[in-house]
Amino acid sequence: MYSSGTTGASKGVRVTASNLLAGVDNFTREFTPDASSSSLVPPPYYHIAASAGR
Amino acid sequence: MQVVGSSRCVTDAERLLELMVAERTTHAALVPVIIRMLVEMPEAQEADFTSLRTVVYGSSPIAPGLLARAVDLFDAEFTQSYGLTETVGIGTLLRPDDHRSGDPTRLKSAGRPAADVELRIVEPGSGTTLTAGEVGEIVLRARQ
Repeated sequence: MYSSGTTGASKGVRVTASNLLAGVDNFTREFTPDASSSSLVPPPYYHIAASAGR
Repeated sequence: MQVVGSSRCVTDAERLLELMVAERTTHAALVPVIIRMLVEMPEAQEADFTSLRTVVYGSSPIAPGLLARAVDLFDAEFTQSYGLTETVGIGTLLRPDDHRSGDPTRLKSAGRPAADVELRIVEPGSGTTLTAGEVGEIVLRARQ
């Protein structure tokens, strides 16, 4: 993906599947959702969290 | 644990509020601009947020007054997260305990590094690690 990291110049960044899964794991460890949980994550459609969610 | 996800195109804050209530959202990850939309929406004042346990916010600084209104409206645990989705999402965390401290200086902090995140503040250009209190550039490394 191309990312500016919000404040920098846009540059190519390699985002791996395991990287995204590590992110999910971090969220899970911190916020301990269970089978009855429902998470709402509304990013802009061009955000990596939206493209990865698809 | 089974994780089921779906994505929907939501183009206005009213629809977002409907979704949040209808799905009995327990965890919400929101940016301050969306928190402001919800907090200022008349329908939100009467909405049922009893299922909501955790609000994670980040991506831009939050005004102290807005944070206070959000805590009041949602009545949930608040955590601030700083990071980049293309690293590991959560880089640092300002946890619910920090929010309960009521210390305005603490609330301006981005918190502490999350588990498995290496973080340093460096001098831009040289990359030399700076000591506590010095202003520099944040470099972080997370699991890949």
